[in-house]
Amino acid sequence: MLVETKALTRRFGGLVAVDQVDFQVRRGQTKALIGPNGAGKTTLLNLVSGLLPASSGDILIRGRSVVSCGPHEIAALGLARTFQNVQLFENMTVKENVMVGCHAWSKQGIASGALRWIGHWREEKLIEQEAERQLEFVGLSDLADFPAHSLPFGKQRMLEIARALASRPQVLLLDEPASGLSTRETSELAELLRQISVRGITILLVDHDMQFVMDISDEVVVLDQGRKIAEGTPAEIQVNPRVIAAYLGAEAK
Amino acid sequence: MDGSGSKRIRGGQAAPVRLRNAQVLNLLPFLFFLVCYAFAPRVVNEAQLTTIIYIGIYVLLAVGLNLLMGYAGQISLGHAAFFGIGAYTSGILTAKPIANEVIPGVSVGFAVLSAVALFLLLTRVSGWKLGVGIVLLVLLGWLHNLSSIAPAICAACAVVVMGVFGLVAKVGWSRACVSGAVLAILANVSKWFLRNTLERGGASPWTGLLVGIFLTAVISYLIGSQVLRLRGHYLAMATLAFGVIVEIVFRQWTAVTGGSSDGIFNIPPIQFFSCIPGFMRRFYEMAAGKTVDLRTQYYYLVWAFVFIAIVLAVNIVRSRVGRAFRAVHSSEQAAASLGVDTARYKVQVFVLSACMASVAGTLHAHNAGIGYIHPSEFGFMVSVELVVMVVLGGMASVWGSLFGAAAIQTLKDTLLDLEKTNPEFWGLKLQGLDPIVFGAVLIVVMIVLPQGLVRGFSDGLSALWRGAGRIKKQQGVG
Repeated sequence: MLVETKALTRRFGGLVAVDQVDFQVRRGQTKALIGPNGAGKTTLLNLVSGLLPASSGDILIRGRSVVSCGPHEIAALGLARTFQNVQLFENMTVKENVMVGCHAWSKQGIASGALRWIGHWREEKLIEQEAERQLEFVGLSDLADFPAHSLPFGKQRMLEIARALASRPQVLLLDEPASGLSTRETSELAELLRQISVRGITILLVDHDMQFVMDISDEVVVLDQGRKIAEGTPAEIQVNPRVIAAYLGAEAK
Repeated sequence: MDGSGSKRIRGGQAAPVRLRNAQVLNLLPFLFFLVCYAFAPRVVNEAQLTTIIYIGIYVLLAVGLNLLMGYAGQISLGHAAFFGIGAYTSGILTAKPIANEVIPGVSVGFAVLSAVALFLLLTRVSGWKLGVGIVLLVLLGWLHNLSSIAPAICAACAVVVMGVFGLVAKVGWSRACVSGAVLAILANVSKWFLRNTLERGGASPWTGLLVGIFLTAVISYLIGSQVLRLRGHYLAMATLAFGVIVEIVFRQWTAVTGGSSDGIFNIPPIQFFSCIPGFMRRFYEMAAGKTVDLRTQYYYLVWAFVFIAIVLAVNIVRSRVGRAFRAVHSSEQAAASLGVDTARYKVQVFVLSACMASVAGTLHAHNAGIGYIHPSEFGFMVSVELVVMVVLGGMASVWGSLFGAAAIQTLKDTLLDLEKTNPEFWGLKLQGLDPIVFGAVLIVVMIVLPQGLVRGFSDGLSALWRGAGRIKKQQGVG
């Protein structure tokens, strides 16, 4: 198991946003988390990536418990993510954004940078190559030197994915990658995610766009009001009565 | 959404600079700087040189603060405190060595501070573990102060007690032991050092510089590692409080700092030329075109530090760590999710910035022909002035800090000259104008040139340039 949660719970005051959720992500698969608004999907992603501390339960990444780890330590274990409301480094160029993505596997410290030791040059070259490779992969090479904030929204999404890929993750968490994208952009994104999956990177994503989710994922987990109500292949999920009830309301029964 | 976005791209086409050209272009300012540095004493008079020395000291401060504020996005309203710690450490060690009866207390205090910092650095604890650790270290330090107990026994006690605490609290016994050992070593070393200094009637300014940097690093680490968890206004308030406390210490700790009535005077200048090889001396003499007096030497020294600081700052900004700083500024969440240890980098830049301020402080204390420091030079208003310098020059612009500091310092001198003439309008005596004028400058800059002087002017020029081009094109078409 690459990522595993055990009875994971998160409370916000009286509200239980994530309630005793168990799920596993196997290496190499593409797994989707779906559910109606407020089901706790984003909270779950934030818990797994360490941005929020869990109230109780356990998270294992590659067999290691990470509940007490900070987000940067989890990133170092090979987990990268994107955000629902794209969080780029707006004060940097497109390429520099991706170069920050290389932080997890690069090592040079402040003295090396300040005094320009040999290690700095060597590593900087590697970082730059990696950044260019990832930019080419998502098709942003020609915009490398533009300020990140000048990109249109769809391209910002792509940039965020490139930045996450530059950290050489084993698992990529995507928080609503298709929201705000046009139909054409969404299908491009689906194609890109398939290519990422082919590279051997495991994907865990949250989205509302059913077509998109059913299209690319191997397995789907459905959350409703913080609880896991179903898990299975897209075909199974689509006919699951509990899922249909959760989406359409109780009357649909 | 798509259409408007691509329009934005086309509009921004003039902004990005291609990397290869940029690398060559980036060297030009440094060359220009060096030329000005070498030949400036030929063209300016004595009084201007003094101003330029002050400007250099403030540039050092502003460059450091800009790394913290402009790049890493963390505000400090207490930066004058670090400036003061550097100045006072060096001033005390060189001109007014600590009196015999205060030496044990001061050295133990210093050792405890350093040991706590090391304990934090090694174990990264917080909460009750940190509290107990600090209390233990303070008690062990107090043990060192009892003259009836041999130092060796104290040291053994320190190591054992900290080791046991480390085991019990599960914070790593070996690391805790190290902090105990360092407490014992530093307490004795600094006692010996201070006595030695007192006997010789003062240390060398270079020693003062290094001790100042060390002390500042320790204090800024202690403060930074706790305070930088706060954000925005809260961080501003916490650093402000720290600055105020340090200023009060300068004023009240009469036995060591001379208090607010005397300050410290007769601080010897740094004899720059006696520390550099002959060929450099000859080079400087050639560049200055005259025999180099103490003031000019000092000018060369200060601006050599400025040059080094700017080079280091520019290098750091364009490196892996510099990118991490900027990432923290823009989105801490995103930075952390990419493996950037945000807490660590924030503390790192804070300590670096404080150490640069400390160097500036030492240079300020040893200023040729002045050699006098007073608590009021390190108060809250100075911290505010520094922030104004950074904002005026331009956040996240190393060269901008140079212009910001120069502009503010010149303005301050002008105001001082103006006040000497006792201006009076309708019975209103214009005295103590600095805060008012700085406030006004800050407001105007934030509204008119939010990017600061340098970026503002370069953007303005390129806009003019493009505008001129467009007009030409239209005329051509017409």
